[in-house]
Amino acid sequence: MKVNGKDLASGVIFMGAGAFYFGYALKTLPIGQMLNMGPGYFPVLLSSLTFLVGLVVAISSINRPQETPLGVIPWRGIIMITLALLFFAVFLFDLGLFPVLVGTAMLTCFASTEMTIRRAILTSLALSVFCVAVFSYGIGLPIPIIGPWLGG
Amino acid sequence: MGLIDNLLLGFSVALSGSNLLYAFIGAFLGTVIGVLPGIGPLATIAMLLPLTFGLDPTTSLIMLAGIYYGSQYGGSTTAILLNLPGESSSAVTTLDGYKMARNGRAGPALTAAALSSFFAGSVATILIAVVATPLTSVALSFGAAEYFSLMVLGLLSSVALASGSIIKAIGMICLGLLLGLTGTDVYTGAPRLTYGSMDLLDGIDFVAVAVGVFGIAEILRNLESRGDQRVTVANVGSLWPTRNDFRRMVVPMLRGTTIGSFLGILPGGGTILSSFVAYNVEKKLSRNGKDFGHGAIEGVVAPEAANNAGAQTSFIPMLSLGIPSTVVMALMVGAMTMQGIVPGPDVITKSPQLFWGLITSMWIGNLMLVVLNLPLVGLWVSLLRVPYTILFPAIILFCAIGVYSVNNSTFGIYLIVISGLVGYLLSKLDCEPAPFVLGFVLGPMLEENLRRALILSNGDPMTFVERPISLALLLVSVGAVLFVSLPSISRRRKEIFVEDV
Repeated sequence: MKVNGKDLASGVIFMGAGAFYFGYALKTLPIGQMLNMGPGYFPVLLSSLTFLVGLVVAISSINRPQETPLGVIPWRGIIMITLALLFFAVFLFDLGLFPVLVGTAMLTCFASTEMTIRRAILTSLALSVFCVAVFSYGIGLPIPIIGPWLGG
Repeated sequence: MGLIDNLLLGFSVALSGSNLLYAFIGAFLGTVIGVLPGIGPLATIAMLLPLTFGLDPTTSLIMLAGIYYGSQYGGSTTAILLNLPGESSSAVTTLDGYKMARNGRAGPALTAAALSSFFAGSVATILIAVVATPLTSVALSFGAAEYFSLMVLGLLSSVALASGSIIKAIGMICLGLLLGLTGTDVYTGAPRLTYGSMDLLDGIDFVAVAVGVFGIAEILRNLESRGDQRVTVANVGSLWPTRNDFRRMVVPMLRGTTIGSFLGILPGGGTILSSFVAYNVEKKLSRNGKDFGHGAIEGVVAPEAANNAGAQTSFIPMLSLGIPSTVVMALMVGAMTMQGIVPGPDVITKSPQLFWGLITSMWIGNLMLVVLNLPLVGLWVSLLRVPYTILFPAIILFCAIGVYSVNNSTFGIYLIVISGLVGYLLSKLDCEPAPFVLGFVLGPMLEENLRRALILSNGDPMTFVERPISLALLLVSVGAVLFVSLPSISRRRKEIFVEDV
């Protein structure tokens, strides 16, 4: 039996999201009635619909060939970009804007397999200087340029 | 006030120093990102939204609009010179545009693209000015039930006109609607679906979601394949089309503009569909149809006129009804809301200077774009030599700083990560992000109108089908979905999007 894997997976995701929100809304929110809807009425209605749509998608994936392959997954890019953004969020205040931008840019650079160390350092420094110039001096973003951990 | 008075008011606003400057900045940035493949107007507008908060609302919308239509111009440059669509809406322009460049006629192709875009932009601007006012007065007579049905129409027809699976797009709408409900219930003030998080009481930050779904997910898609391709840029040569070229441009320009203007108004129509349809129609109707694919100037003119016309007329439903028909318009609605302006029919009466200023600035911006694009084409060509390995770290930094500055909180950064990863996963499964974002924006409005309509009707759901306008809107939306689901139409629909590309 052929199954369209992409459709099956999307269907399952929709069903899962629908079921989760259905339960979550039902448990935490008053439903009310149609005349005077409570905060939970529309979420419950909508999550049921989401579940149903997911079911249709999942069922219709059966006996249908997958038209396009999934393709490569850029694991390195996914991991490095996630780390870069988390680094930014976690250390912004402790390190200050400039160091955190350099770090974020360095991590991001290595999301690409074609990056050399030299190029990454140059790119990161140049971009960070540019961003500090635009955002701190230009727009006046209220973040210290050098944070407390570095004596700023 | 007559149309002329309104336009004069618009020009007085649009020609003021700062508005002129920001229209230029927007058009310039739009051209830059239009020329660069791998970054589109969506991600750019989402990134720059936070930077516009300090500006006057009119000025900020003028700039954001400039980015959008500017990218339509820039996209064609890359399509013609590189055989790569700088924007997805100029994908069809590569077919004949690049052939013309190969035949040593890159210059005339660029000029034809810019002139037809300008023509289409001017016509569409006038169309907005003429159509918006009567449409607004219709909208003012709408009650909650009509608004609810109108939003259903907007959501469903965006599905019908998009590429890809209809039912999956509906699923994406539902997901968007659900997540859009996060926050505080408007009627009771109770927090709901917030997972107990204080940061979510005001809802999930729309800018962060848009940046994640479009910016981050797009970078990940580009990292799949992309090495730094050595690009060979065609020689531009003389810009001037021959007399014969001009003669061949007139009719396709008119047809392209008409098609684009019409499809742009339809919810979900937008620019991509406009250019595809215009190209295919032109190929069938043109006397030089057999030249298509071998460097026919009609094949450049028609889609470029259509995508620019579509870009402009998609402002009509947003400005007059307050309902975004495309994701870019959803971002515009987001920008207006954050500036404290409620999008909808009231805008034209309460802030006429914003409404008419924006419209006239579009025409001025189009004029700037012709000047920017043609004489400066050498600059854009050199831009194409910027390697992607420098570009995407820059995008990530801008995204991070931009989203941080919306609320001066790092919470938004975590949202970017999550929505970027989920958005990428779903796009891998061929689920389109656009209906998701439309649903996300419309969710709260949809619910509010549903609840209000039912309170007004004493809880009788029949109100949606008993009120004639509401019924008509619902019938059209169901009809649209059924129509594109018909086997013969759905085959044809698939062909439109893959044909010749």
